Amino acid sequence: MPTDEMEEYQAIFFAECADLLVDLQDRFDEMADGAVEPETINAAFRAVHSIKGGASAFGFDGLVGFAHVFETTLDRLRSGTLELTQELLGLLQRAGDIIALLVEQARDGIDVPQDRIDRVLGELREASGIEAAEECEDAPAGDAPAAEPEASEAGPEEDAAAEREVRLRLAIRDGFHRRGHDLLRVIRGLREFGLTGVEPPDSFPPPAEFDLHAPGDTWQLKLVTALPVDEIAAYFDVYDGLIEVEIDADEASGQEPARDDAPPASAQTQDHPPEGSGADGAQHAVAPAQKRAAPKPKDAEAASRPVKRSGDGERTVKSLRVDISRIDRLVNLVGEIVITQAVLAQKLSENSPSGDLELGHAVENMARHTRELQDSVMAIRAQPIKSVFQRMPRLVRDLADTLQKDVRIQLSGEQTEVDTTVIEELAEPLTHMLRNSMDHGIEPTAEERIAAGKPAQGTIHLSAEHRGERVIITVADDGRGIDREKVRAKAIERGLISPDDNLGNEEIDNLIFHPGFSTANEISSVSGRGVGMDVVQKKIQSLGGRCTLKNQPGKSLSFEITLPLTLAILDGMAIGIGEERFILPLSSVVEAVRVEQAQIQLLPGGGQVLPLRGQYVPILSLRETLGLKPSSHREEMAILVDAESNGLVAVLVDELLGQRQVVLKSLEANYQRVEGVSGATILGDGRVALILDIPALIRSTRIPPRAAGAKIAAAGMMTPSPSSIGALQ
Amino acid sequence: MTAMDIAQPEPAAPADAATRQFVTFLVGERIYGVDIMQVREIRQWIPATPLPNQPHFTRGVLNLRGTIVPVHDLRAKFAGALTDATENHVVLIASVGGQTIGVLVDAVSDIISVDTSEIRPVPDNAGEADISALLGLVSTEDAMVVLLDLATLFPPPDRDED
Repeated sequence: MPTDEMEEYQAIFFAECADLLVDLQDRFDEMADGAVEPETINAAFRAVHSIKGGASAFGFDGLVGFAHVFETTLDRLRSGTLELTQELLGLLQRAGDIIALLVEQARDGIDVPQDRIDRVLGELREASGIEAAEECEDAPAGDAPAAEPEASEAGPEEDAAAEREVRLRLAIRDGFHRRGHDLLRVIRGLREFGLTGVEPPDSFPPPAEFDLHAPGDTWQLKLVTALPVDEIAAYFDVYDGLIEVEIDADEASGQEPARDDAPPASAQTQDHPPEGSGADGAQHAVAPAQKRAAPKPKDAEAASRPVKRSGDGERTVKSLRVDISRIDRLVNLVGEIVITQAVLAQKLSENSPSGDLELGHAVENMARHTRELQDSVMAIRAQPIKSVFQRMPRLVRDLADTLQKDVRIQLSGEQTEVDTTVIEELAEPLTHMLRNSMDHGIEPTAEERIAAGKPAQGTIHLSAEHRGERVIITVADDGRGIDREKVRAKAIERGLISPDDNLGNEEIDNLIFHPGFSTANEISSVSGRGVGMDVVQKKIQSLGGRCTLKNQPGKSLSFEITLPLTLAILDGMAIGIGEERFILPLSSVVEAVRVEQAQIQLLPGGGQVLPLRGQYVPILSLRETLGLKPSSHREEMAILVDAESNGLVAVLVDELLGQRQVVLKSLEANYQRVEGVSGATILGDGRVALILDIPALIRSTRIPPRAAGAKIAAAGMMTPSPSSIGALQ
Repeated sequence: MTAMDIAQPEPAAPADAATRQFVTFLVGERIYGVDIMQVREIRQWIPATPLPNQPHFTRGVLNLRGTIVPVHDLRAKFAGALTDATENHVVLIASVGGQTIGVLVDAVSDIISVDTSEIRPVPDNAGEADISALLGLVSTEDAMVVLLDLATLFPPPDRDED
C-alpha cells in the first residue's frame, strides 16, 4: 500500500481510537457510579479489543501487548472470575490512561516511560491472575509463528483451558479492501492466537482478471490455542462484518448443530454472501477432535455473533464524520447570507412604501429562516465540552502520581455545548490551570491539609455551564489559595511593583497574570518556569474570553473562564460616533440612557462620573479613548456596559443604531491583535465596523495600574474595584 | 505523508530567474517598485475604518470581499506626514508573509522588467529611515526606482507560539 494511503488509514484508526478511549472512560465512570452491569463491562472490553485489533493491523506491538493483558483482565471481570472492587477500578482507570498514552505514542511518537507501563502491566497480571506463561503464549509472536505454540506448551497449563485445534474459514466481502483492510494483516494478526497453518483458496484468478472488490474465496486457517471461540470471533469485530468467519473448535461434536445454523443466520443479514461459502461450510463442518476441552456455553453466543455485528453496522447511519473545512465553508457562506439579508431588508425598507404588507412578511420570513439556518449550522459545529474535560482526570492522576499528592477531580456540566474551535483551543489553558492547582494550590502533604481542617484528599472541581450567550468554565481547588504576602514580595523582587505601592487584595491576586510571574520558588517539572498564568490569560483572550480568579487564602482558589459560545457570530448593539460605527457585544450591554451634559460630574484628577439612581458610574468617552475626530457637540447617549471586574461603565456615544447580529471577522488574519477590539464585522453598506471589548479597552488605556481606585471609592462608587476609567477623561 | 510533502520541489521560480518584474507607483515625486508576484490587485481609495492605538501610518482596515485588510500609508511610513487621500489615490493590495495588506500610494505608474544585475545596492548613508526595507535601486529611462521589500516594511506580527 502506498505510504500516504497507509497514513490515511492510520489517521482513521487514531480517530477511532480517540472515540473508543472516550467510550472506555465513560464505561469506567459508569462503573464508578455503581453501574456494574454486564453490558458496561462488555462495552469496555470491546473498546479495548477494537484498539488492539486495529493496533495489530498497523503493527503497534507495544500497544497490542498491553491491550491484550488489559483485555484479558476485563474478560475475567465480565466472566465473573474477578470482582469489581474500588482498587480494581482504580487499576483499570490507570490502565486506561496507559493505553491512551500508548495510542499517543503510536500516533505522535511521544515517550512513555517503560517502568510505568510495566508497573501497571504487573498489577493487571497480578489482579487478574494471568500466568506469565499463558501471557507469553498469547503475546504477539515474532516472525516464526509456527514454532511458538509448541514452545509454550512446556509451560504450566494444569488449570488453564487446554489447547486444541481451531479451524477458521475466512471469506472477505465486498468493501473489505475499500475500507483499507488487508487480508494479510488479518492473518498475521492471528499469529498471536497460535496460528499454525494457512491454506489459500483452491484457485486464484489470473492477475489481469483479479477484482479487488469482488468477494473472495475461502481461506482456511488452523490455530492451536486455548482461547474460547468467542474471543477468537471477537478478533474479527473490528472488520465490521466485512469478513465472513466460521470457526470450528474441536470441543464437542455436540455443538455441531449450532455451528451449522450460524452461516445461514449471517447470510440472511448480508446482501452478498460469498459464493460457495455454504458448500465449504458443509465440507469442513466436522473437524476431528484432537484435544478435547469441556464444551462451553459461550460457543452458542459466538455462533450468534455475525447477526449482532451487522446490527452494529447501522451505527454509521446515525453520525457522519465530516471534514471541518466543509463545515467552515458552510459557516462562512451563511455568514455572507446574513449580511446580504440585512442589506436587502435595509434597502427594501428604504425604497418601498411602508404599507406593503406582503413584502414586509416576506422580509420577516426570510430573516427568521436565515436565523434558523445560522443556528442549525452553528449547531453542527457545537460539541459537548466533554471531549476536552475528558482528558483532565488522566492528567490529574498522572500529576498526583508525580507529585505524590492525593487529589481527585470532579467534573460537572460536561454536556455543555461549545463551538468546536473553542473546544480545541481550551485543552492547553485548562491543562495549565490544572497543573497550577495541583502543583501550587493543593497542599504538599495530607498532614498539612488535615491541620488546616480539610479532608486529606484534595479536590479540584472542573465545571462548565451556559450563561446567556457565553459559557463559563470554572477550575476550583480547595488548596492553599494565593499567599498574598508571598506574591507581593515576589512582585517587588521582580520590579513589577514598588515596595510602597498600596495594593488591594484583588490587585495582588491579579499579579499572577503578569507575564513571567511564577510563585513557585523552585523550578518544578510540573509547572515549569516562566510559563505562568499570563499565558493562560493570553490564550483565553485570543478566544474572545476572559479569565478571572477568586482567592480565599488558606481555603481555596477558583479561576473562572468566560468564553463566547461561538467565534463566528455575535449579537451586538450598533452605535455611532460621528461617521464611525461600532458594535458592542449585546451580552455586556445593560441599558441605554440619554445624557444631559450638566449631569456629568467632574472628579478631582479629571475623572468623570455619571450619577444614576443614587450611584456614580465612571464614564468612558469612546471618542477620546479611540482617538476619533473631536466633535463640537457632546455625546447625547450613554450605554451602560457591564465591564466585568470593572463594574458598570457608562460609554458615551452619539447615537444608538439598534441591535443586530453580526458575523465576526478576524483582524488577526491579515493584521494583528488590536487591544480593546475583539474583532470586526462588515455592515450592510459594506463598511467595516469594529467590535469593541470594553473591559480590554479600559485595561489598555489605564495609565498607572491603580491610580484612581481610591478616588472613585471616595466619590461613593458602589464597587470598590480598581477602576480608573474616570481618571482617563 | 509529511515525508512526501517535504520531497516536493519548491514552487517553480519565474521562468527567467535573471529578470524580475516590478509594479511601480508614485508617492509624491518618488517612484517605488514592488515585486509583481506580491501584488494582488489595485483598488481605488475608500475611507478605511480607523483602528485605535496603532502606528500613525496604519490608516485602518477595509473590507476586501469579506475579509478585513489593513491599509498602511506609504508616505506616512517614510516621511511622517499622512496622505490626504482622495478618490484619485489607490491602494495596492499585496500578499506578504501569508497576510493580505493594503498600501496607500498616490498612483500606479507602470510594470517594469529588471535584469537582477541592474539592481544597485542602496548606499548605507542614504538617509532613508528604514534602509533594510529597500531591496535596491534601479534606473529606468526617466528616473530612479526604489525597490521595496514589503515584508520588511510592514512585517507580519510575531505569532505567539505558546
